Amino acid sequence: MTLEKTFKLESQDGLHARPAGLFVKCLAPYQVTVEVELRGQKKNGKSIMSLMSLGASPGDDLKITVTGNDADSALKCIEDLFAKKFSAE
Amino acid sequence: MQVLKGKGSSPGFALAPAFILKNTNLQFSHEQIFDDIHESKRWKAAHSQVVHDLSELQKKYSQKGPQESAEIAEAHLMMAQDPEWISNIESFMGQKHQCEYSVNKASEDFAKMIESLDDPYLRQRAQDIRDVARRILRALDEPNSHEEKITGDHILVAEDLLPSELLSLYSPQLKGLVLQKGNPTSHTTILARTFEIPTILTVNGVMEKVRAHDEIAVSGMSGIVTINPDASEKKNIQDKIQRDLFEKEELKNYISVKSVTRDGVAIEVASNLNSAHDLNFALGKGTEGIGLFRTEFLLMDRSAAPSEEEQYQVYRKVIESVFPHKAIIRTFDIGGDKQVNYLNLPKEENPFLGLRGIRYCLKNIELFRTQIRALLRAAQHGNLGIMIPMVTKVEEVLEFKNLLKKFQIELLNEGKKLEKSPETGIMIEVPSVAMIVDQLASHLDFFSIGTNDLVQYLCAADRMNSNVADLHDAYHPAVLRTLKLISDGVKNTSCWLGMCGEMAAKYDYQPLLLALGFKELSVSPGAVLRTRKQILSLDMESCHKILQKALLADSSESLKAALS
Repeated sequence: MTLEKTFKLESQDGLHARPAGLFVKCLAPYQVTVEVELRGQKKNGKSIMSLMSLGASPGDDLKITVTGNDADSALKCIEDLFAKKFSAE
Repeated sequence: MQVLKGKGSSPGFALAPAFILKNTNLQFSHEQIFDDIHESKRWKAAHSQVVHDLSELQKKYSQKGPQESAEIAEAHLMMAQDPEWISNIESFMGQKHQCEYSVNKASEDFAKMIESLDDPYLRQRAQDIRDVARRILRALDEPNSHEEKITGDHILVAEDLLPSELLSLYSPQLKGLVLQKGNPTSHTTILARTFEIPTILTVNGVMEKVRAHDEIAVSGMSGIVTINPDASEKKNIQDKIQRDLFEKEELKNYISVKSVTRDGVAIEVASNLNSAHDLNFALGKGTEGIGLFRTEFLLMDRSAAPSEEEQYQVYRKVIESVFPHKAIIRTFDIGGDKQVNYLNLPKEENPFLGLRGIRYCLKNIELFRTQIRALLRAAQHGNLGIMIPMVTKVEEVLEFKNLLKKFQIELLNEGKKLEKSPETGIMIEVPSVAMIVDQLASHLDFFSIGTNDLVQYLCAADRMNSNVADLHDAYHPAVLRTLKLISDGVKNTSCWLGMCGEMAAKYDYQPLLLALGFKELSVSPGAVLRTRKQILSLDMESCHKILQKALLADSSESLKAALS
């Protein structure tokens, strides 16, 4: 199964180590591959270094593609993260 | 006994045996063909050791310790487990490269990519990637040697130290840090200050001169390292350590207290900062705002000036962190002794009387424009004061104000919302401007005195020149008279007066500053609490009495006597 959704980065900072870390951590339990796309660059969503190297700043639109058996739950988890603007609980 | 001198970067005193951190061999071959199965085994062993060590670190710091350390440890652990990085390393080894080369190459690829970004925060993460890589290289160099356990008090001596290395080696027994290299604005130095470990950098030859278990005395402020101190030097340092300990405990009582004299006059005790990384340290010391943020450090150690966006992010962070207190950000003070390669500053016969501070900026409008636009945008997030350095005449202030207005209009035309205007002020460093503060006041909101330069220009003596350093004298009666002149000039205007130079932290001088009507004293973060304690013990009447006596002094000796 492949799901695709675009999210606006509304956290105060860009996709820094902490939010990128939260993103990777939230995906860890799922059997999925995740691709994050910004300005034509596609990066592995399970790699903190790749996510940081996107250089995403507040206001950027990130296109996220999730593939795999757990795509549903994984995307749900990402939605939560963006809804909370990456603030820790 | 042998005495070495370096750059003091985190204050305090220490006396303990040396623990020497061996250098890692970072040489590896790029061309040779290696057995991929053997290299892959070495990689797996080193990698699992590093992941294990980093998880231990993360556990250690998530339970206690400053927030920064837990965040660094966690980020490093995630990097070490990064699937993309691991797969790149494995694919280099698959092409018969040496494990060391593969780790270095995969890490550099990521580090360089991140270094090319606009976001200054992200750019620094390149160092974290290199840090993780160096951990792996160390583990490859000495397999199975988990970090050596050190017992008892010690002073760590090393060529250089990575932030994560400091985190792993940190314990309450780590009493001091002496590095042969090191950089005052690096994460390692910042962590050392946060942990309050006395630290001395750039101590030439220390790695050859110190042997394991030599006793070492460290004076973190003056940058003096004494190897095997004699009995009297030992006693001297021990006394200082005791006094510091006692004082540190006592000063904790002043962290969340307001700085108010006994008769109710409120003074702002703010901090001088070189970098946004020291913000947390200053906030932990209960700073009431930032009285001087030196932006020229943003220009250093790089190949081109930072973009507007990058500067905006830094300024905004400073302004937001100290809100509702004020953040006074000084525009680029380059020239003089501060050189920046890519700006092509002219070679001058007499740089301290040359193109420095606002003089440079008014001749290089593009650089200035970027900075002022970033500041105007950042001002929306709190209370900003823009301060310009090295002003000598009214015309410079008017030119600056015109530019400020022009850039404001520019931003408004671009649709930016500018609801808050920053305060504007100048540094008083030059005698000429000290004499015309009343004429400047109607154009400004504040004045802040930079004492090192003011004393240098008043006494015509360079304190770095040992032949005349004694003539650079903050207790010269002319300095006090100049402060009085400035104070009189500010009276009956709407401007406030502050001081951000070293004299603001001279405890004997502070009663004079209060009597002269200073509203803000900005000192290094480590001096905030002692300054606050002093203010709480003073009352204006006795300050005025001391000032009357001091104004009669006709030599620095008699001035000092009046203050004691």
